[in-house]
Amino acid sequence: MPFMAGPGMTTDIADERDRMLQAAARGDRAAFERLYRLAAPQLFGLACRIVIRRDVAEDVLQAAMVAAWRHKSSFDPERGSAAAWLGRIVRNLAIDHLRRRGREAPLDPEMLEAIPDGEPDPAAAAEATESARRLRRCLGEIETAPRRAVLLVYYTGATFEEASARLAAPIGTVKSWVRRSLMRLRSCLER
Amino acid sequence: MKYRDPELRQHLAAEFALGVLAPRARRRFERLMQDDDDLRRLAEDWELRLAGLIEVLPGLRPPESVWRRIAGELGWIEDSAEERRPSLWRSLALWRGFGLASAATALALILYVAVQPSPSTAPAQVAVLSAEDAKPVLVARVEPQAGRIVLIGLTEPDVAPGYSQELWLVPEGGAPVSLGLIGDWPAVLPIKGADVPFAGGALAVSLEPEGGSPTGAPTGPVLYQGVLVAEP
Repeated sequence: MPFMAGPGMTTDIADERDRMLQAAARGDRAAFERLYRLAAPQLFGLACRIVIRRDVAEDVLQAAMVAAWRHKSSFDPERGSAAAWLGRIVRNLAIDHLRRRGREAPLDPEMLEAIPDGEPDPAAAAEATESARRLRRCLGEIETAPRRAVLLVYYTGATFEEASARLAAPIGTVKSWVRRSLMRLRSCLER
Repeated sequence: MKYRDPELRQHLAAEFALGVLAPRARRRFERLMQDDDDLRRLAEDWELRLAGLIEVLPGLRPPESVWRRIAGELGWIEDSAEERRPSLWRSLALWRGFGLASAATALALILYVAVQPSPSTAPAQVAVLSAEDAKPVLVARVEPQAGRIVLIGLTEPDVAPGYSQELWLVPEGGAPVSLGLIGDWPAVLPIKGADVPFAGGALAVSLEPEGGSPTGAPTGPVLYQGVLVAEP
């Protein structure tokens, strides 16, 4: 189970992000800035992986945080963590940019190498929420190749075509890997 | 209708959330979500489910200027001119991704389409333009055959003195094209140019200096916007 987080991991930072977002939803600007300080590195890392260009990733992060403030009251802690909520906004904006403009820069091989696959980054794992750890655990139950396909697509915004080239597998195979993995993930998470 | 198949809905929602749908399929799915709350919920559930992956990503610290730009755009601090960036494409992309079309918007659209018979066989395009709080403000019907855009207000027009509201077409993947100034509504604007690419685009209204944007591109904030949908 390569994705299992060890015992005693702290979720202090995750909790703090949730609290800050809830305070921000009540109009607390200082809490929103604190939330940004806590969440920005992960969000920026994600945006960079998808859009590659740093200047574009900065734009995406800016737009995402502005959107987060404007839609702050729609955050529902019952449905997911603050990190997930913010990440979803960043990813949507980054993917939307990518699909509109096309890839302005090729996938960065260094970034691809850094895609978390086996062991999660220990520092990041320590900050991860319980649901994130469950997700990693469920991912760990999927075979290597299908799992890599899902992670490649998720972390880089690659299309099926790009993933097929990158993984040197026929596009139909990549598609069925991804579909099967997603459905397995769902049933594992619902257990 | 094939989009009723529960398994297909799960697959599409998951692939949308993963971001792997091809551009056209992605747009189609976004349009479907606007009228299908259950489908939107499925997609959001998937997005939140997968977002846990972000939390184990090694971080990358953004430059300090990003926070200044955020605070500037929110009006919390004076942002310096060189740090200001045009935000039209971003807010549009966001609104689409968010699937904010409310039940009221959908209802307005249905009512409007139902009571406005098409004057010709040309495919008219309709958009409900909503404000930032998702409140629908304007209904626009683009009638290419008649060469005009009909605007009907759902609220009273509200323009600060010294400013104008300018209507823009934001073509899919292209730069905004001015469609003219809106003073009062209801209003009819002529469509200038025969081959304006409305299909697949969106309409947006920005706040501009009196007389319209001096640059030919939007300079002020987006007040309302909405995706164009071909009339059935």
